[in-house]
Amino acid sequence: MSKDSALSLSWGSLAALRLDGRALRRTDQLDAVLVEVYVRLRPAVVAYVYRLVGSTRDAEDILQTAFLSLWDQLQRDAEIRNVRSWIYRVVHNLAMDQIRARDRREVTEAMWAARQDSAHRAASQSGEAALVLRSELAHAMSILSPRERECLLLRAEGLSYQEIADVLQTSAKAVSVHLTRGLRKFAHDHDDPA
Amino acid sequence: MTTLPDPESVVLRHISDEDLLAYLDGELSGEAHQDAAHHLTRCWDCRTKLAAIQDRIDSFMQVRRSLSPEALEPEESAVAELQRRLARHAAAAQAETRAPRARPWLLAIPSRPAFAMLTLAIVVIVAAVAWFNAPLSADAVLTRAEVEETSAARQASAVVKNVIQIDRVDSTGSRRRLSVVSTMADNASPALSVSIGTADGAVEQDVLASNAQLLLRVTSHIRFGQPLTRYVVEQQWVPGVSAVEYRKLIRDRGVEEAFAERTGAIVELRHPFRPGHPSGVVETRLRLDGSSWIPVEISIVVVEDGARQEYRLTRTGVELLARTDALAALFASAGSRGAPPGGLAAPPDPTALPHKRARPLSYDSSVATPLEVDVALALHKARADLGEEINVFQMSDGTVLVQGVLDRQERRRQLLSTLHALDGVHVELYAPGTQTGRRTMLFDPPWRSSLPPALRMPPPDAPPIRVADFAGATMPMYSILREHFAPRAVQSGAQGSRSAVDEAIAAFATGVLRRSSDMLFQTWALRKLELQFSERRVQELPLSSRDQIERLRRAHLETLSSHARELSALLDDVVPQVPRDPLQTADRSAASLLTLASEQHQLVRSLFTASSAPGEPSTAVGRLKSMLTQIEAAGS
Repeated sequence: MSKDSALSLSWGSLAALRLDGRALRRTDQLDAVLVEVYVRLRPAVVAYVYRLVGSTRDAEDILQTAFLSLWDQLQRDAEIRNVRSWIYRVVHNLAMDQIRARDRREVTEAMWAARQDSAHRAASQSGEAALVLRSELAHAMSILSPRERECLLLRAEGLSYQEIADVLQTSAKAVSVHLTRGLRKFAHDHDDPA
Repeated sequence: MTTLPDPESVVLRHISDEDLLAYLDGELSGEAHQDAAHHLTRCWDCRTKLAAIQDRIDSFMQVRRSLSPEALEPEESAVAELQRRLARHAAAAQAETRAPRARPWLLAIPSRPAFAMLTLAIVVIVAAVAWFNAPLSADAVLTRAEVEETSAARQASAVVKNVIQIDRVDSTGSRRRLSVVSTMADNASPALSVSIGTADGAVEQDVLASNAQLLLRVTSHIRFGQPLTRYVVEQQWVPGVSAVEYRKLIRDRGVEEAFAERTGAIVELRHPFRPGHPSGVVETRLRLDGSSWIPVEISIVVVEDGARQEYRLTRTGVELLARTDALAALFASAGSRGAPPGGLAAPPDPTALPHKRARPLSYDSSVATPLEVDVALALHKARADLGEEINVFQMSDGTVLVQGVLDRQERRRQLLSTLHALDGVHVELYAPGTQTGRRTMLFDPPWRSSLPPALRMPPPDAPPIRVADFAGATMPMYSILREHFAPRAVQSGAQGSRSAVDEAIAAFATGVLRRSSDMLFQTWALRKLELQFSERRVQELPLSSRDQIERLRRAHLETLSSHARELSALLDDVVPQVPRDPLQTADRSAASLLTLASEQHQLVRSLFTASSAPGEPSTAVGRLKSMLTQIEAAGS
């Protein structure tokens, strides 16, 4: 590996950007490179996370938290082969955690209510089910299953099937099926006879 | 000749929707791509389908576009924020590797938050941000949760159904569902009805004679590593999201340090294990709802086969079901099968009261007694009326009950000996490690109904600050304080180095915050006095007792006033140019003082602790100054 390989910020191939923690640290460029990657990825990733969590502030916060994790990884001399899909994977997980936390609060509130009045009340919701976007337009999205929505949104970000599979911890074949199925539902909702 | 495929059949083998999409996406391999292209030139159907897919993509993209975030922050400020966070993150990481035991010291909170602030020495601003927001002690929170849990378990007369999801999370944060365990428990029986769902979708149902058997069932499904299995079996841990069970997990962890942190509505406790602990556990975490103290999630972080794994148990549902005959039969059958003889002798009497002892009377239905005044005085002398969770109840049998949850055993012993001398007073104080018996039950505070909901929790309420925020947030007063302290640091020979100035700022902010929270505690104490010894309740008290109450009130007012004076002076020193807002007429009732003090405290917190939404501080300072003047006037 050449000395420059760690810093090969050839933005034509953002997808394939590879970062080598050891080299970056040796040349003392870690922070500078991270900031540059951040600037490049930010508009798209923030928009992506926003579509999951429904808040720009949270989306920005999640992206920055992901970059702190990236810093940690590189600081430990890790080599990240595909920075973009790595970042998508981490922000995706953080967003899911946040959504689940929201759910948990609802569950606890329900338990609190149950404890108060001893009446029976149920509150069971899976984390995925809460992936219901909140705006009106979200209705269009809401006919999609969470997985289909995630696949379509990631595909729209320009990720390849394999990259999407990496983010969602599934196979490229499954991604292809989700995409097709998602688009099909989407067409039905938009009066597309096909 | 005959080996060539029939051209028609090639045409007719249409391309699947998946492949058409993959074709558009450039995801087909070279050969498959060529085949598809060739087919498309000749097949009308597939071309139509391809166009339809393209249309669907377009309409999806259109909806996606309309779901775009509002305008983003300018790039420069986002980058500046990231750089700040990176710098703090790096500093924190460095501090951690250099002095791994420094953190507990920063976060260990002595018995009262206000005094925690005082006793903590001054450290760099990064650390300052962390402890400003930690008026929680992990042990006290856990004890609180245990007490709540034991009393809740006793109150529930129905069948409780819990659904717990168990996941394994790896170091990148991706999670794998291992199992979903749903249990039904009936107070009237030790038996447990269980259904365990495995990752592959199978569900196993059974009725267990006691919940001790649950561990074996669960571990046989989710296969913890061997050291961890051995450890949890030794501890007789029952898998579930429970504070009492969590305590078993941390009993033999080999170190004392513990951390508590509030993130929005959730409080997270972290208990690190001794490095090289035989179980392989690195740390455990318990997340609870910060207002009801109900545990919502437990994590066990463990190194297995050299890799860091987290087992996460999340409560995803809870239900109270009516005890129907069918349900009761379920448990009864388990009892006859496996419960120890006598374990299910007779169903409990549903009419039996949870407490045979006297019941607490509300303030409305009782009058104050001289004994209550003595207790109030004793608590005041021990400074136990300032923000600690201690309640005094007039009981139906004429005795007085003092009930509370404290941070430390030491504090508990101290208060027990203080109150010991008073005849006719029952004392129930809980601290970490106190056995919570089956009869444990915390009563709602006697004043509860007479307070507005927002003020029910006496300790200063930490705003939602996340771990990640520590690193990125700024203190709104920071630049003003810098301007003030930098020249002084030069004079004193510290050469104005950044860290020296930061230390001065941290010290200053600590002083401000300490006085501010103590003011809140003082007004809280005043308000409680006013409720407990209302005009109606003290009518029959001897004059000497009423005198004592009045002296107590004066003492709080004087402390309050002197804090307000000191705080005003501190602010005038730093921001003399900011004028006070015009004074409003001061209402001197304890209730309005409390509101004022709590507003004051919120304002101080927003100015002097890290905040992720820094605003223009000077208007807030003006408001703060005028509030302080009002408070000061009330006490003089």
